[in-house]
Amino acid sequence: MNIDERIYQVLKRTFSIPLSWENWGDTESFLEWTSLDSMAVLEFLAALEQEFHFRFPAQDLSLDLLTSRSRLVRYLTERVNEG
Amino acid sequence: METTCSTNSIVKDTKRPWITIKDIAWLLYLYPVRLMARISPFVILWFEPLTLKCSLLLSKGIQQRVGNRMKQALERIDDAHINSVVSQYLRFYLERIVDDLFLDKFARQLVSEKVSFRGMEYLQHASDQKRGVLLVSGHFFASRLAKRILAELGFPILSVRLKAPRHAGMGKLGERILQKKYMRFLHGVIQDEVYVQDKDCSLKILQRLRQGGLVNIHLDARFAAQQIPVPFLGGKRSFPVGFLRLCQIAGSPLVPFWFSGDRRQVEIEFEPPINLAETDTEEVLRSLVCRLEKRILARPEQYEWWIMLQ
Repeated sequence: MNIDERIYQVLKRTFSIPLSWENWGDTESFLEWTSLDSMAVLEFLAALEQEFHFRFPAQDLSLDLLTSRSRLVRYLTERVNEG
Repeated sequence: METTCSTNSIVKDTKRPWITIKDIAWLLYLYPVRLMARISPFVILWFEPLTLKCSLLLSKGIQQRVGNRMKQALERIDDAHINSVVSQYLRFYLERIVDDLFLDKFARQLVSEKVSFRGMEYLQHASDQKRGVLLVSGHFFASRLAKRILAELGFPILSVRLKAPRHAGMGKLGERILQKKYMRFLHGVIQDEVYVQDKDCSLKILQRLRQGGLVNIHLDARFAAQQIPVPFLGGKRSFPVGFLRLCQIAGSPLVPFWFSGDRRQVEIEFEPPINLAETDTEEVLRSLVCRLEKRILARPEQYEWWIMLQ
């Protein structure tokens, strides 16, 4: 499973949304699929950390990063490659 | 649902008078009083007792409301005692408004002379772990003073607050102009804060905790997505649970944080940290509410939120 697909699975699992891979398509913002309130953002972050066995450092915590699919994929790919 | 809400707010808005006594008080406070506080603080402090006497005469409705809530919560208390507690409550209320004008000055004076600490070692120890500390407290009048004192001592604290609370008795003038002005003023007073309405509120809190910093949350805050009803002060009230989840995700210790007093003397107390990893969150919440209630019952005149209790 690539990074993008793993993020898709995390999103689906965390918010229990009936989101198909086809519909996920070229969605850029997670806000299209969920009404991410303040706590939901945090739950999403916690689920990502669990999935990728990685802890977001304080300076990287931003709403832009966590709601933009392309940015998040890029960021997590870099982190995974760094090991 | 959204349509109903917006219709209600329109109805409320049209019923709201253009200007109320509260608006006039805000207007005076934000302009001439604030200006005078800069030019000559002495004048403001000199007028303070007189303003208190006027407030006691003009606020009979508020006194009755606060008194009734206290009676409901405080068992075995007679009317004479209630009246005395309500008078003290109003004094603290008014003094806090004046304190906001001179918060830095009062905090510095208190640091050098009249602050007593209990359990400071718990804060120090929790802070030394570099995992951040979530300080849980309640709406007591000494809150801003206590936090400013701790900031002076090298423990800056991020406050979590509602951006623009709806004030009873506010007219259209207040709602449209003065409240925004007051919020800007208050931001200058509190300085280090995040707003619960912001989508990135929890992220900012987590950020501060992961930097090893301190964050303060009032347990009795009214605005939260997830709440649990808990018996409180002779009734039942809903309390937020989101902050406990936040603490779990951050891996930060949670430290109960209490304060009382006024600009003459402040007492600050920390209790031993609570580790959320090993405890049921609902149980922790009930225990925290119970501790808050004990503090309120011990010093009812110091609890700001009598007026907000349903």
